[in-house]
Amino acid sequence: MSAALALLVALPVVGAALTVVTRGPARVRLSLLVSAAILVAVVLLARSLLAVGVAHVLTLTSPIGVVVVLIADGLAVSFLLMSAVVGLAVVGFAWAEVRHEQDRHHRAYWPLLFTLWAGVNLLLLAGDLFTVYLMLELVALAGSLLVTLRGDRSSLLAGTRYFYAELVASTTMLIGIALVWSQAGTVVFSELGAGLEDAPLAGLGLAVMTVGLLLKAPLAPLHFWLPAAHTLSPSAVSPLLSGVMVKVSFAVLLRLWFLSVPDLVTMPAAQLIGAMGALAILWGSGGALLATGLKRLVASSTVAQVGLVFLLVPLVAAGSFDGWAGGVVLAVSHAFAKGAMLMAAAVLVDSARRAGAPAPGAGSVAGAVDGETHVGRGTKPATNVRGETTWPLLMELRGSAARRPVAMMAFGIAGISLVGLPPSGGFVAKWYLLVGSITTGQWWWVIVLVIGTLLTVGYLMRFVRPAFAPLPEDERPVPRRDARDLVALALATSTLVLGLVPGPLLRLLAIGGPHGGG
Amino acid sequence: MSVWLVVGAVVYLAGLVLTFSGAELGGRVIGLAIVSVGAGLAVAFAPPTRSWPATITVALTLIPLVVVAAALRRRVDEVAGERGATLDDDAL
Repeated sequence: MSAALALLVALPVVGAALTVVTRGPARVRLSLLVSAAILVAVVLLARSLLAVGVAHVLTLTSPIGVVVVLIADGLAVSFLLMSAVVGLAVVGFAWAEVRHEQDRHHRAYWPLLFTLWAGVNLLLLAGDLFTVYLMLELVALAGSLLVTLRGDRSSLLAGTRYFYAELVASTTMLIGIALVWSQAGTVVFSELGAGLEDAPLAGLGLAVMTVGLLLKAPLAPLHFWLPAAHTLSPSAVSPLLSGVMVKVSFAVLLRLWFLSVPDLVTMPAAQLIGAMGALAILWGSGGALLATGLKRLVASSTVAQVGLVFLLVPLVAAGSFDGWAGGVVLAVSHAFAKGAMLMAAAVLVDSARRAGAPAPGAGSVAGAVDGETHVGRGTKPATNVRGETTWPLLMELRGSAARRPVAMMAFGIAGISLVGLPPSGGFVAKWYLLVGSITTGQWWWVIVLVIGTLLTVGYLMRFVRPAFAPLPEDERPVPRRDARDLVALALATSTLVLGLVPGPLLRLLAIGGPHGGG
Repeated sequence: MSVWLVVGAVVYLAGLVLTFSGAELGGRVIGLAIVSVGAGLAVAFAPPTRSWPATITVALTLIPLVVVAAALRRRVDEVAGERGATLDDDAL
């Protein structure tokens, strides 16, 4: 198991180094190989963890006295699986983009991607607060630089805001770590509980760290940076942001609250987190219902889905393992579904733009091109006065299903999981959350789940309806697909696999879980 | 609890106020730098026994991050200058 842990840290680092020195098709093939190897390493780790049945702890002490603790338990391995699957899909999608359009990606894309991945893996395995802090910084740096790679004004500003928000969150986390360290004399998760017993400022330290991590998660109302960053990032980056990066802070929070210092988590505090989750559902769904562009709709949906995931907090605080299972399975399922949805959205938007979507109507950000407004087929992509390409509006994606049926199918399957219909992973997750709500007597979360589900249907239909709208005979396109559509479909299908075979993941979550596991 | 931890927390809060009240990106970079100094001070003096490796590690992470924040701000200004338009600087 230690070898698998070492591989999970070393492989992305090797990938980052090798993608700096290689070029062209060799670099892309190498990236695919390393990504597949990471997934294999995670699967091997999961299998050995299931065979042994107890968490594995690795303590590394450097000559200068710095101690790094790594924990491979059900929580860590579940999220590692999630990031490995999404990471492989993102690399596959990037490969498909390069096939579709040469020199599509900035040369820094691949090294930054693997640097991010290394940070994510080490963060999920971290067993001490110091390693958590360092890896959060690494992930924030790599992630925000990836957002800026398009190089235009909008993405640069979005990436800068994201980076500034992450830096504030990290330093807030650091203040919390300082408070906890001064009280407990340790930063190791497994020793915090005993160290903070009867400590006067333990609650304050935990609260400050929580604020920092919620800003990274991000849970409304601390989500101000997310919609722009996820909307304006390159199409081979946004699945990672929405799918993986928002979950790693969530995983750290779960480890801190329920596996490290569960006695410090009071029911009022847990209910407050749940209420913030409910607020996020309403806020994000509202943003999605009002969004004019597809990527913005999907990004706002992420705000809502993050809120849903946090509903596990009051359930687990009340002793429910069903809540634990439901929340984590929802996080994993959402990562697959949102990643697939963003890939499909990128394909559909690109396809609509190339097909010459009709000139935007009133209220669009697109301006005139060469002093005239072009209409009809064969139109150039819309640009604004600053020369930046603008996105087609939702209404301009009419007929997307006919144009790109495979990508639309991927979007649809992902949508099924977000709504929570069987046989998707979203259904399994919501089932467990509902059971947890009822068995702990917290029926009000049932109402929140139902409202959240209905709102999800509402905003997804804003795109699905025009996408399937019939086109006039003379405008019917020839259906197309390329490797990008297939990658999106494969990732979307993983939500169905999770829904049909949830057993291994549920057994994993019981290893090292709260309240002695399920 | 060390008094320097309290000093660090106060400096951090001052930097936070400056960051969120700054009207321009430049002001926010200064705020972020102050936030980083405060957090660095707090963690340097937090443990019951001073840990120089931890202090140095935190400094080595925070300093480059503030430099990156400044570099991003400069790049945003350059792009705005190229386009001949004023950046819409939404609230952080």
